[in-house]
Amino acid sequence: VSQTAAVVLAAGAGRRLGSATGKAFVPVEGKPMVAWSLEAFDASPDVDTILLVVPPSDRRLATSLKARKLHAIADGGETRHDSEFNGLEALAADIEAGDIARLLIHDAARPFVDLALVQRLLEALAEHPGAIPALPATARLVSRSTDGLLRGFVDGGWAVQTPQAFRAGPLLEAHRKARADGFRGSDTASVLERTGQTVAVLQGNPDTFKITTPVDLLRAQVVARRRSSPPSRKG
Amino acid sequence: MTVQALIPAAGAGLRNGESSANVLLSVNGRSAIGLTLKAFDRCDEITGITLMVSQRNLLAVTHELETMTWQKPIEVMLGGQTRQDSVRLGLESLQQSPPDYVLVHDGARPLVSDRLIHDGLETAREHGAATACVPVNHTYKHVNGQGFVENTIERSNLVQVQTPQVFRYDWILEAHEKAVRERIVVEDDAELIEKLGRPVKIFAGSYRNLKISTPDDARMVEALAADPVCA
Repeated sequence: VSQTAAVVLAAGAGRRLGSATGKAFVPVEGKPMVAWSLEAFDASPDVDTILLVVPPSDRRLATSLKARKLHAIADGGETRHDSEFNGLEALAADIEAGDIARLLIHDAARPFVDLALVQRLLEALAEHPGAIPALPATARLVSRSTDGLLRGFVDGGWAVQTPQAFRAGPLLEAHRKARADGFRGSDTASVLERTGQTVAVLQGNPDTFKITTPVDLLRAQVVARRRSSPPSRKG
Repeated sequence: MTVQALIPAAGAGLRNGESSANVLLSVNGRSAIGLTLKAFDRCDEITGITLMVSQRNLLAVTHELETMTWQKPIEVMLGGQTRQDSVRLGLESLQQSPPDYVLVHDGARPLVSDRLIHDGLETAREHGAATACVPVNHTYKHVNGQGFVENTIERSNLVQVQTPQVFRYDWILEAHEKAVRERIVVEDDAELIEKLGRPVKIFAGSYRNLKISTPDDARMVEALAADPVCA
């Protein structure tokens, strides 16, 4: 039986949020940020197993997380890309044996996962090696010159989100090739893109935003409260 | 030195799929636009304020302003079809007694601070044109017409544009008049100046300085107003 594994990347530093622990262990409405994603994947009928990637210093915190499908913990690396590589290598034997056929790569810094979207992303893998959620950029993007001047506006950008879904074999292979070439991607799909493989884009969900700054953490509180309150008639 | 604040708040939004900047969403019992205007009204460096509203919002905005007290003259006028039109109409309304500088600010960004206004003016005084920007924390891609990734946008030099934006009055007026003649359509004023080949200097914006588009954003502004150190 070929399974779907969720790789939850929880190795980012908490410095910008003023935390001594990793960012993923900063509380959001009373529970560690990463617990939100673990609970979501636990509840998804499309996910069979979860691998968590944490910094070695957060291993003890990680073992106290309760998630039914959490089967392994891998060490994070220097960058997001390296953490992702470590996660894939931890699953490599199962991927090569064909036991894991699909991967969801997810940032723990995005606590509000849309499971209906997860299902659509996985379905898209029947046609394409990769599928990612994204939303048209709401902010105007521009390049900054070395002397601090505006230099060229960027039109038509899409802000990509996670979880990103991939056929496991091609992603593992592309990641090994990236390692050999010294390439580090800012997201998972870029690793596949550089090998010329198609990545489908599906409409993302604004709630699945990424927490980077204290302002984002405040937004997580606002979103969590809205999501837990009964739907209002007026929307 | 005279500085006129120009606040486009026509905010019909959702035209051409652009996100709606909702200036009438309620924040702590006030409309967003009332709070934005207060920030400029209490700032010593601002001479006067010109507000461009839509026909649809005119009554609501006028009523909101009448319930508050103001230290500075506030001109309320009808904006145009687009944000660009609104700013141009605002600029043209100042031609009788032109200010030295114009500060353009989104009506739906009520958390603009004295620091942002000051830094914008300082930067414009030195360079002629200035815009607030914040670093980008996300990965952006281009997507083709078939719904596939075209490319990942190199992000090391990428920033996102905010307001305030501050300009020499003669520069920005000239740019807008040229845009009309040559049918140049842009999303913001710094882009127009840049398109006409003048340098626009970046100064540090703030993640607090968010634009209200959704009810969540209005709750965010309330939470941030109660937490002055969160940035």
